[in-house]
Amino acid sequence: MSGIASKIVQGTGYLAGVSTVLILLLVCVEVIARFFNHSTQIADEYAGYLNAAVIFLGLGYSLKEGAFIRIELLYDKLKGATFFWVKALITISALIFSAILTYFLILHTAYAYTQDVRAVSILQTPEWVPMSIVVLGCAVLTLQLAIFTFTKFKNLP
Amino acid sequence: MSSELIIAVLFIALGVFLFVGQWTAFALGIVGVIVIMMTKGWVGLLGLSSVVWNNANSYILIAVPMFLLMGEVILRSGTSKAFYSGIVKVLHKLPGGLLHANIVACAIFSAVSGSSVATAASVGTVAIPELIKAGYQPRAVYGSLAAGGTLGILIPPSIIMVLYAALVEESVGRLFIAGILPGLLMSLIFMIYIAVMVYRNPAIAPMPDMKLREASELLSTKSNPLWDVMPIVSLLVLVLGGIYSGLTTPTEAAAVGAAGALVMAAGYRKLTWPVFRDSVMSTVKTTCMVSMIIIGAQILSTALTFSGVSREISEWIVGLGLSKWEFFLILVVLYIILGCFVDGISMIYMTLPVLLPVIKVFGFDLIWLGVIITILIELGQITPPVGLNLFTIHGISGGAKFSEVVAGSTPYVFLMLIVIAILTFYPEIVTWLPETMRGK
Repeated sequence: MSGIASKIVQGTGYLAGVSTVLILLLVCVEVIARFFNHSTQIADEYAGYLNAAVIFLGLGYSLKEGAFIRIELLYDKLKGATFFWVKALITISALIFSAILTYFLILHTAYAYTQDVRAVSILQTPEWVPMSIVVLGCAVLTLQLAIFTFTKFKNLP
Repeated sequence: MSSELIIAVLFIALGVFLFVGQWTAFALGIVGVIVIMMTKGWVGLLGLSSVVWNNANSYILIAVPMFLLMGEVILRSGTSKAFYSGIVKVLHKLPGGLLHANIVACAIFSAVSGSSVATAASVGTVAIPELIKAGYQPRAVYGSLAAGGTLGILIPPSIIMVLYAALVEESVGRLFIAGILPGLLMSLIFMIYIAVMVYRNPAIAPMPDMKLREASELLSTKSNPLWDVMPIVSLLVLVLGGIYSGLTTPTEAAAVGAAGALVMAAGYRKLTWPVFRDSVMSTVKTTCMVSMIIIGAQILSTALTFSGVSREISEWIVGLGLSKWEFFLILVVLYIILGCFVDGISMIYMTLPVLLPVIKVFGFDLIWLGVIITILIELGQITPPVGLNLFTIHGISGGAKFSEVVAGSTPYVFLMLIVIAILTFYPEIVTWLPETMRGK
């Protein structure tokens, strides 16, 4: 079970990488098009959505890989039971925070879907589409924190 | 609920979470949620999703992953070696020549990298083995690289400046251009310090002699130094030229710069699949870390606004009857102390939402203040116990004592304070160049 969950976290991390490359391509195409007096008309809007995808699809992966910074003055010196309980405090409080965030993002997305909220742009993109990616990313972050908790913080960076 | 109780909970909870080692981003967000729950209850949390969505889907912040990608490609493809070699060929005959090369290389490299850590790591990886082999005093080497690396966020492009501009709603392009002259001034002051240090104690840096020539792999290459530095300088012109002329927005310049870095790496035949993959995935990791700090800090900021604490703190500061420059002095001291413990992004996102109304009341120029705050963040990167550049140089030093890196960097802290004093007395150094821009 934990293996499948880890693969999901890794997979969404790679999707974040793909989104990064797509931002690069989209913005460069827009710059080149401008030299020929053209515009994609969607670059600003879709680069924004892709940026949200980079951030949220990459959250669980980045946390797993130890990319998040902390003040390590005390953390690096802790050992034994104290260290275990500090790791428990860190992980479980982050898990609750992440779960709350996911819950309210789901509410926001459901509202955008039912009310048919759309972007003020040429394509009038329904807001629930990019919001769903954010919800997915936040859920994967929660999943990664749950993995840390169920494995008794063994690989907590 | 009384403001005193909320402020007490805020400081105690944030202090405890940060001290025990909670990830900074989560510490800020968790405390924000606690404060919202205390003041508005469960209903108050309905605003969370908007905070998250507005920060994630921000056009200005797209510049962050693109500038990171540009720096990562240059760092991982090893293209900085030829560039550093070119700088060394020009400067090695000066007393303390390779220490000057560190500063000049960092200053130029800063213009193609938005991060101090990437700058210090890119130049340091090549420079440290060469300088130690040539007999330079390790402390002086580490200090010049840790401090030189901090130029990465003052000389544009700068990720810190993008984040500051997004927060105070100022022009990223103007802020970038405003950082150029202070960055060059700081580089010059660093180099004067090195010259004086070497003049007073020649043992710090061996004079250029046969030993150095034989030891240095960089000097043995036959290529023209101009060709060595040309690719990086071209990238610099592409990125900054686009912003200055108004041809590209900072976000577009970032993407064009990242594409340029890929082309440059391909030109050196260093663009392999592992280099590309690792650059992209490292960009993802840093972008997520930075963005989550912003989101956490914005949740806390929203909580403080909801609870009225932001307004009360602002009114309290204004009520103290401080003069503009007394307030500025306190701000500088606050950032120096915070910089010892907290990273730059958390520092500005924790403080500015509360302090910005006061800063506006005192009538500070937000572009000028942005440059000053960037220098204070640079200073925080080389002050222990938590200094990102100290950690970076220590990590690539190959076994140096951390205290040696700190000792080498300490004089540069004072030099940065001198630069702040100069910019305070002569603000035109900051404000003149942005006024000449075409694309404001």
